[in-house]
Amino acid sequence: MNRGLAIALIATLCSSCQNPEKPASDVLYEQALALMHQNRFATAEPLLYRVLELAPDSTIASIRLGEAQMRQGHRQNAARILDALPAVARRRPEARVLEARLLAFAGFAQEAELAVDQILNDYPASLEGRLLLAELYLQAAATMNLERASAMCSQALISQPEHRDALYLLLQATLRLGRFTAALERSQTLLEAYPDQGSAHLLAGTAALWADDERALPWLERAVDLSLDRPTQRLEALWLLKVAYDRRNGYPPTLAARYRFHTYSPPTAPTDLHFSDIGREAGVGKKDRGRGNAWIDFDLDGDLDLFSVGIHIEHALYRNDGKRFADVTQAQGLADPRGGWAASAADFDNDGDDDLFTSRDAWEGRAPNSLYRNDLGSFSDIALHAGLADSVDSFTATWLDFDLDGYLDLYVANGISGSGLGNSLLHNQKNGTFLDKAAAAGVADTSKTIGTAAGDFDGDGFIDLYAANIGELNRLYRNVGDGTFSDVAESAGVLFPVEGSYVAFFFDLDNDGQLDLFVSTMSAFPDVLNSLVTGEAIEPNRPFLYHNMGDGTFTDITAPAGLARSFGSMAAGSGDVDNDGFVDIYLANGGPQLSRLEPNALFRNMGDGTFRDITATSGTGSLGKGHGSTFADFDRDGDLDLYAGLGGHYDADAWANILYRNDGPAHHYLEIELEGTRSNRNGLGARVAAHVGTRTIRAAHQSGFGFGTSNGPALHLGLGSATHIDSLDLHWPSGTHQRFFDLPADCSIHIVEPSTAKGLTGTTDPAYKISWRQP
Amino acid sequence: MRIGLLLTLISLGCGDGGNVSEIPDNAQNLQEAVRLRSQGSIFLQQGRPARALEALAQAVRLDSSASPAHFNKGLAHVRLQDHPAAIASFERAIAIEPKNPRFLFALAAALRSQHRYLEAGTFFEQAIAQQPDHAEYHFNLGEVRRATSDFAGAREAFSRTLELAPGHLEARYYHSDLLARDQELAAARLGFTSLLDQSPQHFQGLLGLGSLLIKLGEAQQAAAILERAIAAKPHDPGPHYLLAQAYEQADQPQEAAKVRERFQRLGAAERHLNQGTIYLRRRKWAKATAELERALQNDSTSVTARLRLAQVHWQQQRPDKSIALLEQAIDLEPEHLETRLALGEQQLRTGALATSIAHFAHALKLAPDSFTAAYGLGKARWQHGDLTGAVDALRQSLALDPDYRDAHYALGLVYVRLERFDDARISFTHSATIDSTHAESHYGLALLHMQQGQKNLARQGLEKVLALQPEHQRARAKLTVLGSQL
Repeated sequence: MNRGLAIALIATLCSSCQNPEKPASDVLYEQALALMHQNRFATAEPLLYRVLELAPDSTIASIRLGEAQMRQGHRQNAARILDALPAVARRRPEARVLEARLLAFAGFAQEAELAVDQILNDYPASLEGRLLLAELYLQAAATMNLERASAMCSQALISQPEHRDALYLLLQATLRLGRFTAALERSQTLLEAYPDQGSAHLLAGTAALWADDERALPWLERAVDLSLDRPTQRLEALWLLKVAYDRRNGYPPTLAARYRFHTYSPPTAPTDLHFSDIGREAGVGKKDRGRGNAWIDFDLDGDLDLFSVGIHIEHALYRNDGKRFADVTQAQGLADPRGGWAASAADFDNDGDDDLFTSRDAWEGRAPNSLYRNDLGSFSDIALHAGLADSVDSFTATWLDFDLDGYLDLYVANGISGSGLGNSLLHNQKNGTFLDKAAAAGVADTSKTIGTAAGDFDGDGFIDLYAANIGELNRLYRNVGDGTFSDVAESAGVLFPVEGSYVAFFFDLDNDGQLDLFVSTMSAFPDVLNSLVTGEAIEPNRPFLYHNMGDGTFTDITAPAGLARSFGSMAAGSGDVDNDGFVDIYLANGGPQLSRLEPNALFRNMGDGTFRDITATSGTGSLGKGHGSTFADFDRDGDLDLYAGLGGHYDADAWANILYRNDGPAHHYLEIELEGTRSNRNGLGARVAAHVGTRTIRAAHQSGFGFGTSNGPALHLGLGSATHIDSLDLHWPSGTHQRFFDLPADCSIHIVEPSTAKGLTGTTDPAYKISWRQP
Repeated sequence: MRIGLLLTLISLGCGDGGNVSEIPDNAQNLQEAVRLRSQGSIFLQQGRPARALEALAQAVRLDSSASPAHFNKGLAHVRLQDHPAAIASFERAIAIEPKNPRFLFALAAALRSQHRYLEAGTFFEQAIAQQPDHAEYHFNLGEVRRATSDFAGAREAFSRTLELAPGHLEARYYHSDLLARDQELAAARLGFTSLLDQSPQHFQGLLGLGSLLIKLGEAQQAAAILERAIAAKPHDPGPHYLLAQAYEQADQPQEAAKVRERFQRLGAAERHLNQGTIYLRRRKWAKATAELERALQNDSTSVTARLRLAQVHWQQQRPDKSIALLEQAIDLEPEHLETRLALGEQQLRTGALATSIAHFAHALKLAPDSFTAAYGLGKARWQHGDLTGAVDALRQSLALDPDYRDAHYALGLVYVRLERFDDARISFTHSATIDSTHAESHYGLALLHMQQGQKNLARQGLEKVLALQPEHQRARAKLTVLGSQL
């Protein structure tokens, strides 16, 4: 190199290294911006304040400060900052993008989309506008359009090929579209551009995990190494690494401790209860991003058939021929392409066969619900005629006969998308139509109700309602008995959870004759992972198990029961899976993010007020995003099997639904099929108490709980070691009380409600018939 | 990391036994590194982690081969809550001196603070291998084993802790708890009893023994123990739940019902308090108010709920309501430090200086090492005109946190009022050194220069103020005056 060139080079290097003229405020601003690009908004914030101390007129610093505030959830602060800007500054594209972002943050995604469109009209080169649009297409339900999100990012990358946000968003969109090969390529690009960013490796590792690519291991290990100063990100990377290793038979012995995820789990009682996934071989392993499902004997042949619904996909009706299931959806008139959310079965017209209800469209906005009337095994949607086809944003729904007129009514959760619509109480007019009496009855809750449950918690003979709300306190509507309800949630002590409330059901956890209450909670994934590590929940965002004290109040026994952990439970089901006479709980877990792979969980009721996690040993911990989870003894071998509707928010997040066959061992049981005459035909709301030796085992009949789903139509009682029932008390909703003596175990009995009598009926009448089951 | 042990580690620091016997590449650098290490160690022992870090970071830049520098730097990071950086420093110390048990222990403790329990366990084991008779090492190993569900291993570690330190309360508690889990009820009972003999108010111990006695069917004894737990923490729902069980077992249904009702209310209060606190953090004032008021409805004597609600009112510019709530809280619990501090601060801001002084002084009695109390007292006395008292309090605050800019600055202002200009200059110099962008400190210095006729220095100072804060009108005015004088 000649001397002149060397001097020039040194001069160039020096000029690029030093920038003596740059004001301190500019340096700080650049540092803040760099931090914001790394999503470190809290760290960037004080720097921006400092910039504004040094350069109070810096509008761009103000805008960035607003953005930092907004990204940390301080929307009002951001709005204040924006309002304080001079008019001319508010016209800057950055300020307008922030304004649009605030709109989106406040839930006005469509308005935000319009605003960004205008920004892009005025400033076609606005990268921030383009990327906000991509975010809206990627994340907001109302504006979801993954293809357009992809296109926006691709356009942004033309001008800035290594733009971090554009690369991230593009990879996310590709992944959510289920284009795993392309996602892998984009992962590679992202990692080449940002080889030292843990979040890039985490996202790429997630993509590789979904693509079942070997690179998941090194990428996630690198994500762990690069996330040491970001505990939440590190924990997520560690968890996904565990998932990746689990697919390869677990951690290799040589794997360093720093790559191992550990959990705190109290010692569990050994169980040999085991389930096998036979969904595929049985022909019911549909990939429909499973939502609700219901067991029904639609053709009255004595075998339990299965109705399953998913999102924007034809329903499925599987006829059980005693050996396997046949898809009869088309033939029976249920090939409704609109799909649905909740799915329940009930004989609303008392004609002897169960009908089906499906709600729509929940988070995705308003759509009419469906009521499929069963006419000799053939279904037709009569929602319009029945008066329940209004365009609503319904989630779960529960059947009950609230006025004891012998016909089933329906309570529907509305408003989940923020529409402000109140819940409906659809009163059965006994002529195939319904009339909404929610307002008059005082149950038209306009909160974002997501979960509903019905049960006579105070034992006064009238069925009460529970509404689980998102972001608001929950309601316990006590049925006064005159067609109205009063909210007693506060005095009863069942207001929680508040933020992540999801589904609910009543059940008698300890057979004391009082209906207890379980409410599931959707906790954030970091909370769930932390909870796995510490064994503790993030209070008060956890499930709630309320023990009914019998005096109108409930006691929160979640912690002593061993359930005080954080879960992402989008649904929950209940059934006595080991026939020990105590009802067990299944939590259907997950969440929209593709990286949220959280196992579903089965908790065994130990009978002493505590529950034990038997997920691993029972083989029920699928990572598929859990929804409707229903129990029924479909193979008639005496134990309850489980159907789990699985699937996430995005198209890519599709999992085959699972039919878990209960392989036992299980104790003795009794199934009770009810046929109401004065009460509703299904006998929903009826309560039974089986007396065996010194024990009493109880159950209440319901349909439309958990995810608005239905277990098998018969009441299933686990009897423990008892081989016969000394006596059985049956209380019908009509008030009729029947008592039977010396009933055999391990069979199904069919009981018809006496048509005239009220009070305790004669016990010698052959009021029931026994059908023995063949395993 | 257990605070006590951490403080011990920090107070000990690591003597600068740096290995400087090798032939230096640059003797001057090494000498400077030794000086900085020593300075860092002193800063650390003085409780000035930021300054310590500054010195130690320079020291390791000049000489990265001295393990104590890395170790002390790690301790400084721990004090500054930067655990990932602490881990990196401890790892470097260990790379140089792999068998130093203190280094191994410090690394393990830092890893544990990040919930990296499996790795922490490995390093605790290594520390124990080097120093097998250190009870605290075994105890910490027990804790991480317990956290990773290795209950048998945890029990063994706690057992060893107790062999080495029979009076170790927490080890006794966890050991007894694990015995109870393993259904060794008689041994567990002995353990809990021994724990409570040593520490009669040990809350978890009381709950553990109460729960165990219920299991053993000794309801009356359980009730007595649980009543003690309630006396220790009257707002905690946990012992009420167990006590209700004990009364039920003892066939005292009325007492059981009464206690259960109290449990329900306290449980509800706790849930509303938690939810209200979440809303408070999110600045959702209306929702926070509703939740915290519900908490108070359920537990009318809750000091914490009042404190949180007072925060909401304060944020919502309702000082009267806020102060009224805090005064109620003080009536309920006169020795509650956080309430005293909040009242002191709020009374200071509303100008009730005598009351503010009284609360800060009370807080300082309760917690003589509370910087906030001393600093608050200093500010309140200053505003009240008790300048000598202000000096005392501000100096006390600076003894607790020598690098707090605003305390130096405030002290400077007080000295100015006392016409102790040399002292004022020292204070302003301190605050300007700690934060060179603090315009007011430079302004104070400039005024002192003016007052002493050092016009050039004053002008330079004022120009600096204006460079930092161009709209500083007082500085501009003074500069104009100065310009006309020059």
